[in-house]
Amino acid sequence: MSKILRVNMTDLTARFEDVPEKYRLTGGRGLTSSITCDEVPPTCHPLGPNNKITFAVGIVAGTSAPTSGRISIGGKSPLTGTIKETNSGGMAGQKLARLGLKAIIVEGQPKEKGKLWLLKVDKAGAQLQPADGFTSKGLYETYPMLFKKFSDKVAIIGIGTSGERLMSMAGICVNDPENRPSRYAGRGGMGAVMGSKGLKAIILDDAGGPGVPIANKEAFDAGRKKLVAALREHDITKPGGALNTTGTATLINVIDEAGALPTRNFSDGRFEGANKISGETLKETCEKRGGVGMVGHSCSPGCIIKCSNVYPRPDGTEHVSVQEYESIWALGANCGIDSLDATGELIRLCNDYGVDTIEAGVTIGVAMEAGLAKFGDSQKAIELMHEIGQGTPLGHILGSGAAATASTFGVVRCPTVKGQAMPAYEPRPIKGIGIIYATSTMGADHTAGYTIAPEILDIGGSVDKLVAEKSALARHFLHATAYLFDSTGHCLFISFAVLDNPSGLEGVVEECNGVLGTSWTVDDVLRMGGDIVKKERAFNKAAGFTSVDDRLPEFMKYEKLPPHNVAFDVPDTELDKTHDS
Amino acid sequence: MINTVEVRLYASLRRYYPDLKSGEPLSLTLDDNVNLENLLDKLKVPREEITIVMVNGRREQGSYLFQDGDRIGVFPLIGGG
Repeated sequence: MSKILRVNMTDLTARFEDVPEKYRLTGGRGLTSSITCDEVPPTCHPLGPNNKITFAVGIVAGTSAPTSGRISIGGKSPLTGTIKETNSGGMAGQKLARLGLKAIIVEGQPKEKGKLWLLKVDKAGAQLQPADGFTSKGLYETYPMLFKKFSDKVAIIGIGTSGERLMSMAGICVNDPENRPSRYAGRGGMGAVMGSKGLKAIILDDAGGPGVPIANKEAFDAGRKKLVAALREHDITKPGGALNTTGTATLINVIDEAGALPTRNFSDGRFEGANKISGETLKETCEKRGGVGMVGHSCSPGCIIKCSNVYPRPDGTEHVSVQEYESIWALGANCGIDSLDATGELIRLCNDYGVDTIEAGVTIGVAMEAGLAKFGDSQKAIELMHEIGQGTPLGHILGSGAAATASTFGVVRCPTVKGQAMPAYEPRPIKGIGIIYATSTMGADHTAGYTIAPEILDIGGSVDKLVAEKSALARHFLHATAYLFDSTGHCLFISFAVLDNPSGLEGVVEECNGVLGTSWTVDDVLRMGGDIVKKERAFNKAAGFTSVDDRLPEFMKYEKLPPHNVAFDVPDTELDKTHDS
Repeated sequence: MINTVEVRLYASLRRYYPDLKSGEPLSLTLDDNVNLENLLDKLKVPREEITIVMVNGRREQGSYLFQDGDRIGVFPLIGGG
């Protein structure tokens, strides 16, 4: 029987609780958002004693379901002030599940200000110990020290110095299969919430753990087989397919060609240096430099897709993992930087200091617009990252994110929604994703509903440009994502295969039925996704958010974006209909 | 009337033009009765590998007639995030 581990940082206790019936049939985001709604006062300060941070596994995490190692982390966000769920690959999701845990809830706040703790969880129980000696350092130094202390077979969920300093762009790091500090639940500043709880890291040792019980093995196996077949057949997700060979950064050239690659702080839709930072160039560089460079790297065991990479220095030694689309765009095109060596170094610094690459890149883009550096000056961008890492006064401003930086320096072109930086798709030419950014419960977030697939990539059927249809498309994706991907523990990238293949979609639902002993249909799962979004919207409403917050920044309505010279023209009334159903 | 257009091949399609440098477009001159469908047939890329075609950043139908200076992007099925 799965348990929930509740850790109280005020009195430094950890206790195991039975899973309440109301949480038994959910997982991942469904669980983090339910717990946040049930236990966190919507008006609380995100860094105060009344916020809680929940780490939850997806429904099928820890089983043999393919590409399902995600861990969800939720609570109230210091970046947006909304409810937040952010998820990561890496080693933690499966180990947490195999320890027989559905979630860890961390609450309260240590009496001793600035004191940090480590939480060790293994089959014998859970204990807190001082993190003395493991703080105030980069994660490339800290993680090896932690593995040396606890064993190289554990998973570590940790924060960097940015999280210790409670910066709103701090993410939460999870080790990859080779124990790099390189996978991130990056968005929304949840690293600062973990820091505010005085929790430096969670160490998960699943040796001898009970594993994940499966109620109906026949149903699970049938579902698993369908999903595996769908993933292996689809040209995007199959071995040797697009994601496996050139990684997510293949999109740099596509989105650039479409005139929708945000460039130099969202002032252009095309970047003349796009090809130099493309997935194609990344792959060629890995091949040319040799050494440890590789594409087709797996971020968690059991992944069929394997879209990650290890980027080499000119001498073939390791520079960084991973250079993926969002990070390369944010720290590349968005800052006018056209070198993968430069984006690689900036990503390495994000990993080391523990910050979200998207928020960091968009913040540096805003800082460049403010005149703190010239667009394209990668050396200066690296210096700005060091300001964040060193926690200087300027570093604290930047570390508070793009909106705070724009506000500090009087930058009107501030590409955020509800305080969160926009990802790598310009919403002026790609309007469906603009509706997602505006109306997501999480602030600007492409993973809340990945409409890019039908909008650009011709997957799951083309859609025309009618606004009403875009609105319906956005609603469908918001609901489908909340459950199918974010709550099951599957990676969002299975969407390419399951949206094109009804059998793959059924497979995901049957896997859940197998684990839980339910008899859900695809429609049930979509409805439950809608229920999660409703619950999250109720939290945000109680926290003070209204329809006026479901908007893109004003400049996108009056600044026409080249090369298509379009503004964001979806009427507010249509945005407000997105959540009607 | 002759139109000069630029064709950019991306991702796995680049292998059909190994002499092109990375990021270098094919420059083609076309009679003005040549449409998008005809152009794709002229490429060395098997049609079944072509999934997305953009002209000046927009999806166009096969019957599209070119204008001088058009920029054409040709992609296989690719995805990311």
